[in-house]
Amino acid sequence: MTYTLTKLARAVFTAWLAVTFVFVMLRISGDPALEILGGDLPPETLDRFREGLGLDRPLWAQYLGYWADLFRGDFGQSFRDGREARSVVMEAVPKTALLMGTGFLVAVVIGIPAGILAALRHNTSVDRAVMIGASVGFSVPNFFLAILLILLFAMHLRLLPAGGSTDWTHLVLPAVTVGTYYAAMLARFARASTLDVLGRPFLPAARARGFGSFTTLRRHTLPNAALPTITVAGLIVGGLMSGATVVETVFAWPGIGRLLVNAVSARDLPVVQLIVLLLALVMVATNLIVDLLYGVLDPRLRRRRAGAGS
Amino acid sequence: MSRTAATVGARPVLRRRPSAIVALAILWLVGVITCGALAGPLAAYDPDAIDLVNRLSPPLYFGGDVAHPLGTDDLGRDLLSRLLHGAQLSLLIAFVGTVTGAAIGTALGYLAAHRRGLVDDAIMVLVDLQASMPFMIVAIAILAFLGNSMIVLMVVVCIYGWERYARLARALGLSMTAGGFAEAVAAYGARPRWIYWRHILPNSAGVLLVNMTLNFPETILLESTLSFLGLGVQPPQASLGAIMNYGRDHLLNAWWITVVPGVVITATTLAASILGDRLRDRLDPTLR
Repeated sequence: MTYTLTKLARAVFTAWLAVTFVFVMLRISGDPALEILGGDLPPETLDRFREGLGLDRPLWAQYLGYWADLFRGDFGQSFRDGREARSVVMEAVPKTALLMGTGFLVAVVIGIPAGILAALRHNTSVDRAVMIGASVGFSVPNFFLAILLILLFAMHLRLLPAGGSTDWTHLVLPAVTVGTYYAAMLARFARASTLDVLGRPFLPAARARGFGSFTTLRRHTLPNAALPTITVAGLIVGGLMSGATVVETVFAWPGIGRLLVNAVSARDLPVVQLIVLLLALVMVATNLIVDLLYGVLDPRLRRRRAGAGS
Repeated sequence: MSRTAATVGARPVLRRRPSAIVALAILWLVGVITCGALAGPLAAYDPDAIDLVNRLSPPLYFGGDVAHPLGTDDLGRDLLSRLLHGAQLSLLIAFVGTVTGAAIGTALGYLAAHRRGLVDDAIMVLVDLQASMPFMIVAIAILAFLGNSMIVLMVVVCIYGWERYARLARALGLSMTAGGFAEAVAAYGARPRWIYWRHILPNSAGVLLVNMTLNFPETILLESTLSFLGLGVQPPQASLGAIMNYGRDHLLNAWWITVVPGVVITATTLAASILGDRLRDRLDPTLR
């Protein structure tokens, strides 16, 4: 219980810090009245505009008001087209989820089996081939990989479209770009943690007790190897969101990553702040889930929890 | 026993990585840094000089000529000269960013180790916060709210990765102040600042240096990515990522503007991480 509560409190605290960070950034980013209306208007007009936004109130009142707006789901209007920032962003979320989900699926399906295979065939040519592939996939920056894929498959071979999102063919190149890095990362982690577990004394012990190699793999190797892999999951979600900005921009994929980059270029702050808050919330939730899952999977932590709770 | 097994199991490829590759990596890094440092004298042309007669000339072996070995862009600017100046700016930003981040992180880590209590807690909360957020998003948010100028970009690059040094420095500070030589020096009446500066810092230098080598390529990537998205280095200045961003509009008729800087970025970050991994295997005592 204590374990869960500590992690929960930490998550709430982090979320609070993230919202406060965005509020502070918004306040020091300049005068919204000048930002939106420009400096050519008479001062009275600007003052009236500031009053309308509540900018004449003391800072603490603005801060509380900001929280109230967040809870009401009022995130202001996009500076660019005057639509609700919320609907602009929410339109883009499923697109990003689709792209990142597909990309990550590619990574899991290729990376984890490749890593486990490399570990089981340790120090053979299979192992070496997997690790060289992983090193290359790990080192090529995603924006460069995206460009190379476009040059090869869209411009040279003319097999796939270079951008857009109308049908599934548009999904292939961006999903491969996203997937390559994580396939490489997962292969390395799966290999390292499998090898780590294979080197521990309980495996020879299990084998000595007469279990077959498949049973030892399923009952002993994989659950132990799962722990570090789950820890990495938190990093992966963060990395996917960073990657979304690049991949969606290059492939003109209409998700929140591209929306964020375009909103920053246009200084469309209501959209920027909503995306940043949303991503922060996703990160907080992910880290919380990873922590809780870790507690569930690791019997030692569970015992410590039981001990602390009683 | 389990430590040995874990270590040998986790990093054998890097340990067995032939020295030839490490030598190649060092050679490339020395070459790139020399070229960047001497960009002014080495560049045959002014990187911004427009020459419309020779526009979109391809690189050598792709139909180009010796006058522009890596080709030119749509304004006839010499790509090799732009590349040299771009590498200079990218490396400079990454170097300043890495060193500043290391200094901030190490100082805060030592402070946390020395003061303990509330100061320690506050610093560690900041460390956890930064570690839990994808930094690219934080960087983009800061650039969005404060506007993208060179100063803001430098601030962003400098605060990148400080939390890792803070964690390391705090752990090293704690382990070294608990008994041993630091306590002995303190018994002679040395002040904490002296102990940290003259005794603990030199003893943690190896670990911190390894972390800097591993952090350096990531800092190059951070700046390159931001510049590639058009949010980092702004024209007329050009970093490697900014040149790639410019070339994106000319992929169809001038692939070299984007591909050549891409190769340089990839090779440089790869070489730096190979070197960093090797250094870690050599210098980090926890891996022995």
